[in-house]
Amino acid sequence: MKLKHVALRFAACLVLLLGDRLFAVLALETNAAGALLSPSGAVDGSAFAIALGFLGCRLLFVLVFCGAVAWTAYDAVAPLSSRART
Amino acid sequence: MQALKRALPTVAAVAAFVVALRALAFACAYPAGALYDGDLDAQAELAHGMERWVEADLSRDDFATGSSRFDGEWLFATRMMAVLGYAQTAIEHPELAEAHGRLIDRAIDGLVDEPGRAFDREAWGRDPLDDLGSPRPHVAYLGYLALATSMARLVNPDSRHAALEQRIVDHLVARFEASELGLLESYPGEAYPIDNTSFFGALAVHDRATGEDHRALITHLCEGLASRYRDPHTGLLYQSVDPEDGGLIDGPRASGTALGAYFVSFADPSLSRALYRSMQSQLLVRTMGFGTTREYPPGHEGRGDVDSGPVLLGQGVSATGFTLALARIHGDRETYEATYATASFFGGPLHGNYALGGPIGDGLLFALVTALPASRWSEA
Repeated sequence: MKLKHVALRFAACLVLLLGDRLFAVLALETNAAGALLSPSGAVDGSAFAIALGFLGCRLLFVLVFCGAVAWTAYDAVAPLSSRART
Repeated sequence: MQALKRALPTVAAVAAFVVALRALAFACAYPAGALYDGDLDAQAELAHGMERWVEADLSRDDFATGSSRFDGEWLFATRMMAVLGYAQTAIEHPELAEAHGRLIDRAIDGLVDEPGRAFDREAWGRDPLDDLGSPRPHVAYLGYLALATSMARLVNPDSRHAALEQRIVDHLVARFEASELGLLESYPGEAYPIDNTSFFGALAVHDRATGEDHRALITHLCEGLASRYRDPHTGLLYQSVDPEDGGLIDGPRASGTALGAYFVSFADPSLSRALYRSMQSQLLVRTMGFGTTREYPPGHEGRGDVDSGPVLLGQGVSATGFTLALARIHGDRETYEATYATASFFGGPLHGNYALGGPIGDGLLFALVTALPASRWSEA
């Protein structure tokens, strides 16, 4: 397991987290917040895009973070497993 | 044994994925502990965030439901829920009463001004305040306004809205006493148990604030709600009924039941608890540390509406938020924390506001997460 790979995985998480914060601030400043709560979808396009950007970053962060942790765990255990086989 | 060793990395990866997800849920739920315990700083941050909307010159144009009436309702609900949040936190922390009393009066100014009551006037063709003393109940406006103004009076007996509160209560008491169904119309030809429960709660708060005694009427109304408008199979409240004969129009739903149980907690905590238990047994879902609430009970299907908010994979956005209040009211810490994790994840809290909340989301969450435990009302 290379440290560089691990660092890259978690750097991707950080980038997504920053995107999440950026969209959150943007949503508050532009009052885009209620866009996804609207029952009819009668919302301004840019508000909808900001709200979706926020949610997209957030969901992607969860996937990438949990995936990075899982991948790192896999890499950590794999050598032990192959050593045991040989 | 060899197969097990070969599978070890995959097993470790799956376990790590699950642990990471649960850790995220824990992180999202972390602030819930302080809010559940009524921490002053945690509540004050929400109160401060809500000031942004109370002081703003909001209008129906700030909402985009696609319906002028619903835009008006959301504008109204933003301020009404702000009042509940400010009142609850002032009761929990008396040192906030003076400052929150001013914010409450400011929010009520927006509820009673021309634009604030326009949605109801347009529905009835008559102004709700001019109609006080008439046979028209205007419950979609006056029921909730009674709750807001009675809270104002409870926090500050000298509230500038005290005289109006008295007129609204007198009007609706007369209408309910004359009602055979125990329910009044929200709009002409429309009756919703949830709107009526706002007044059941308001009347109890009014009695605490003024020393008047409407216990007999409150008991009669709550018993009527439980016996006539609660589905016998699920224990949930009907969403809407026929104002002519009380017949079912829209069946049992979580959003109406949860918000109704919140309002009823001011008047009849045991009925509120019974409604929450019905929700607990059929609607509350826990997934990897995140809590959600189904909008429809088993055997019922639907796509949701303006009351439920979006319904995603059967889980209602409004119902999930309303569950926060009931969990705190009835001492269900685990559900409160798990549900807060979901609200926090999708809402995105940021210095007292929620990124995806907007005025109504912020108002709702402020009121819901600061809902008072049922026992506190006996001391209020």
